[in-house]
Amino acid sequence: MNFKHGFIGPLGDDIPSIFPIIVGIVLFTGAMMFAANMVDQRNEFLDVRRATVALAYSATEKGYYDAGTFIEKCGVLETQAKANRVFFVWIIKNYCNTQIDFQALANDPTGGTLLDAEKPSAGLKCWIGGLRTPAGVQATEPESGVMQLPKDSVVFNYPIAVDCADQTHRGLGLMSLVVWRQFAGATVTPPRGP
Amino acid sequence: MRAQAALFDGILFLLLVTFSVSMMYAYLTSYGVAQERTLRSSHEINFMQELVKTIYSVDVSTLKGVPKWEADSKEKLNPAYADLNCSKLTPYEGRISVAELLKKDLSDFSGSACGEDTNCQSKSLLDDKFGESDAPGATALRCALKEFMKPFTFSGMEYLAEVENEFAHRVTARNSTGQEIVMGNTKIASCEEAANLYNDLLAVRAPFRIRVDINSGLPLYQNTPKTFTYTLRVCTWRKAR
Repeated sequence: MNFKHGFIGPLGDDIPSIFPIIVGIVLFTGAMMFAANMVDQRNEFLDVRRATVALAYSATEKGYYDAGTFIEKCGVLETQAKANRVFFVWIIKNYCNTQIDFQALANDPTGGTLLDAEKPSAGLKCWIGGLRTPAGVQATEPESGVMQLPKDSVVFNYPIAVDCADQTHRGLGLMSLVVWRQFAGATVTPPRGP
Repeated sequence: MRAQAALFDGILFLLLVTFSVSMMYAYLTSYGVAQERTLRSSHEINFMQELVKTIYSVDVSTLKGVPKWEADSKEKLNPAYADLNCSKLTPYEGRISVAELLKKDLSDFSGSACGEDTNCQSKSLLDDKFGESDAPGATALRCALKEFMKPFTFSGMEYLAEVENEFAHRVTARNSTGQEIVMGNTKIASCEEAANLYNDLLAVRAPFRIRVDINSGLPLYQNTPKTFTYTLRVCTWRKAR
């Protein structure tokens, strides 16, 4: 009988190497999937940011906006936003005769303070977009204080001159542009104006 | 013997996979970083340009309430902020913009009258005066910048505003602290000096002209108004190197 010690056949001898090979394949496939996911997320983030820069470039055309010009410009931004597949809120907050409290805006986790154009005093707001809600897409703007910043939103702030309450002076203002990605099936009739 | 060789092959394969995965992660960490930096830079330049546009529209009277303390500061009187004396702008109740008051402040500068005397140049450029009367253009600019540059200052950035005339006489309105900027042992008195020290400096320049009636007491036919060209420059850079 021809017996070789330790020999379990041509395939059997390769069995120990199968385990590191399987681990290697699983590791490599997992890493590739993770990398693809990361690249997609990063591209999405950069794309929204690029769209925000484009919108901001239009929004900062002037150093002062009255209500009429603001509404006109809102329409221009809407067209641009559709082309870039994003939603946005464009707000001009009024800080006449007071100081701009950036820290309060930055420390507000929901963005409610930023999105409320009536604080600290009457400002302007142009809201083009839909929000994801449990019931689906909410096309109309939520009540003040209820609206929250979408998770993937990009916020850019700029200085601006605004009409003060007395309508005779122009004072300090803060122009904020909040942009987030449009999602599938979101068709909204946007509300406009101050 | 064969089993050992096969195991070695398997482990070598695993090592190669580990190496390629680590290379992939190294690539991922830098993916999009340059693009993001460019986009941030675009936003910052856009911000600075908007800032310069805005000072042409903001009325100085609305800046009188700019305090020396910060609303967010736990210590209401933050010693880092010198008193900018923004209440000095109270008498200017009309529609006078920051840029207009700045031009008024600059317009008593008679060009070459100072010669090479830099102290004289500084005094006559941004001295909050028009001749002997008050024209707090430098104060108005500082008060406006203190509010508008907050996103930058809160992000650990420093800034300067300066005006340069056609004779290259430069004067600095300084930052919101109203004090000289000292980085390490070096005093930074101009955007150029900052540019020599920091490579991430961003600056915007806005040229403007002032028509000065030099012989205002003379009849119109003898009067020869002179036009001076100025440049307002605002620059910002990151404090940490």
